[in-house]
Amino acid sequence: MTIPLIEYLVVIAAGIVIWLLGRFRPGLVAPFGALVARIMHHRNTRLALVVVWWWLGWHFFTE
Amino acid sequence: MRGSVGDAIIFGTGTALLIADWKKLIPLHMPERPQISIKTILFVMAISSAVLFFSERSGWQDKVLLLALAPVAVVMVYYRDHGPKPSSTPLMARTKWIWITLALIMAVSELFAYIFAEVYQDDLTYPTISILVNPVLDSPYGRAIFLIVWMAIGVGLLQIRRGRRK
Repeated sequence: MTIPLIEYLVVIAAGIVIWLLGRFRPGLVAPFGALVARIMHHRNTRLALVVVWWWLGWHFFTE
Repeated sequence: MRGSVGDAIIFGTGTALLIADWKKLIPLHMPERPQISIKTILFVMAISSAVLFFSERSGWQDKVLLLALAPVAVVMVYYRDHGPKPSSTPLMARTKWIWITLALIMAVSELFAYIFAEVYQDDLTYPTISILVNPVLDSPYGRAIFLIVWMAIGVGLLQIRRGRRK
């Protein structure tokens, strides 16, 4: 297993742990949905996130 | 440089849009949040999914569809903010920084993998996420899963359901 792959897997595992903590320990870490709802109150954040989302589609479907 | 010119154009355009909005350079009347019927949303999702799944990957159909979706997505989120912004609680600030840290670690890991892969001409030892995901997307099952996840994230980010509940 290569070093970058280990790094990706560690980050993904950490993300899953934090997501679970948000669901089952909401006093420790806010739920992910609440965080997204919070940051989507700002127009600039909405635009930035949508650009990233669209780019993901573009990158993986067309390149 | 794998696709980096196109990516630079996309993120450069996005950054320019954000700066133009921040500096109030866009002389457009700030619209209210668009309301789109559920039939239209389902129709667009069905057509988009069919094109992205059944057409040849990287074909012109995918490019035309995604280029058509781009302005629609921007219009869906570019609307006037209403009411006071919720103040940041320590819990929310902590959570935000945890996720930002994770995202930065992932970005830096990929950046170094990209640099090393370019320097040593070795994608196998230093794979970027694209190198790992591309073979998965070439299979119909992998593409279907990615399509569902990508579409679900889009529906969530565009807040289509929330917009209709108001």
